[in-house]
Amino acid sequence: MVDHEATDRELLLEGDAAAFAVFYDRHAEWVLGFLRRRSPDGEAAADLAAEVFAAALSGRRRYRSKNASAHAWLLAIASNKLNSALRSGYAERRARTRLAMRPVEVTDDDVARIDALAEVSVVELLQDLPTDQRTAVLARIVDEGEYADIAVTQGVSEAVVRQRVSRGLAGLRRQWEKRV
Amino acid sequence: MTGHRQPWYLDRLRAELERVAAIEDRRERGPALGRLRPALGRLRPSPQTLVALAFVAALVAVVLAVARESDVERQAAPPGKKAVTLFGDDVERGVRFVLDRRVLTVSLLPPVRNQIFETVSGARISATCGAPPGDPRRETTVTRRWPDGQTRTSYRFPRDVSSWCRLYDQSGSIVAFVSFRSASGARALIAETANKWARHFASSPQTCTDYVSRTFCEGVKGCEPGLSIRACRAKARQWGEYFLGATAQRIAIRGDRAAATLSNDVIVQLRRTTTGEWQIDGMGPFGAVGPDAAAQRREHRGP
Repeated sequence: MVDHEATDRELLLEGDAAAFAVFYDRHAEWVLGFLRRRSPDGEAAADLAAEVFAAALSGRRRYRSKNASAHAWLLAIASNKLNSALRSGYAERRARTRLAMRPVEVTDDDVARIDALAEVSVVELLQDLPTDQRTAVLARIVDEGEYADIAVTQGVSEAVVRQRVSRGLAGLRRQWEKRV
Repeated sequence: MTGHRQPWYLDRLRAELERVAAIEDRRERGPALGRLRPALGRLRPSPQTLVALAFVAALVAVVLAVARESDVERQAAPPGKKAVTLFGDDVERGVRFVLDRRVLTVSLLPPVRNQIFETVSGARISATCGAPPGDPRRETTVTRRWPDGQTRTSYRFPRDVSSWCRLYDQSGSIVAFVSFRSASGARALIAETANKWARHFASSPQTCTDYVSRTFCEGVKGCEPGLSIRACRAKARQWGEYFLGATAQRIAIRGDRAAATLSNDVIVQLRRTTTGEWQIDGMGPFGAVGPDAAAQRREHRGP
């Protein structure tokens, strides 16, 4: 049985095929979205994603980082594969060949979904904000309320509302940069 | 009507990755070193430690490989009887035998000899094992089909076999042979054979004994042309006296061949037989082997 609470590091170093599948589920969408935003089309992004995860599978036992999360490690692999593909004009197949992986075809439906992954949802980003900041941002930016009205509604001073909106927007910006 | 909806790309990629990951896992479990890699990475050991770990890993791998192919319900070793995994190579044929009490694993060593591979692949190959060497009552034979295209297979014996094993093809020809003896055990056997032969030869220059191979025996028993039988016997006695008190001083072993230097400076060559015994198969640097054997013997007072 795979421990779904296990860290990336544990899944990579001590896990088996099922553990790698859990690791894949955690990261597949953002990796594909990241690659799609930088690739000419969905098919190229899908091809690169397959190569990235094949490389991750091949190198999982060599994961040296002390970080429990392998986000940065995976991002480095994806960036390397992407840069190589941008230079040469095609996604390399080295890791997939080494593993004797069968090609995974990309359909038109897949391309549409991959394109959708590239779109960063502001609503999703908002979910990551603390509740008071999220409420303030929604009231001010989405509902276009006045600071004085929001202050009364939320039972805090106007200055506090301004501070929450400011911090909330800064947090969104950071999240956005991380995702894009 | 609702048509079948294909899983989307990431799900199909996941399935393919899981498939190859499972293959990788099996591959890692084979040599077992894969499990050590993370630990090695964390420890950053010295080269000496790595070598030691690799050795341990290789031992573990062999034991695991054999254990995996043996029955799950295998009995533990009886109290007081130490379970030992025995290794042995048939160097000439490039075949390795690993015996874990009742389970014999036979593998073709790389580079795999084409002739051996063609003989065993997909064929019914018998493994006969037993102890002590040559005792037919204690031989046990198990026959199975060698997996087609594979370089390894295992045989499970009904009881412990602990000394030697032979592989036979369907025609009954020996494919490979091994005697599970430690190097020191082989040395003792070689020394014993050489010493007994020298003592026997010194007291009675009878060339054909249990200690020599048929080829050697036939090669040395003929007298030189023109010598009378009496003269020939006299020469033989003289040659035999040269071995009085001779004993093996140094021994070298390479696979199924060995050489023992006797205290009279004669070097005897030995070959391991298919039953694990050592027999004298030649003599050098002077003696019964080679085109100038007769000249050499004359020079050293031989018959």
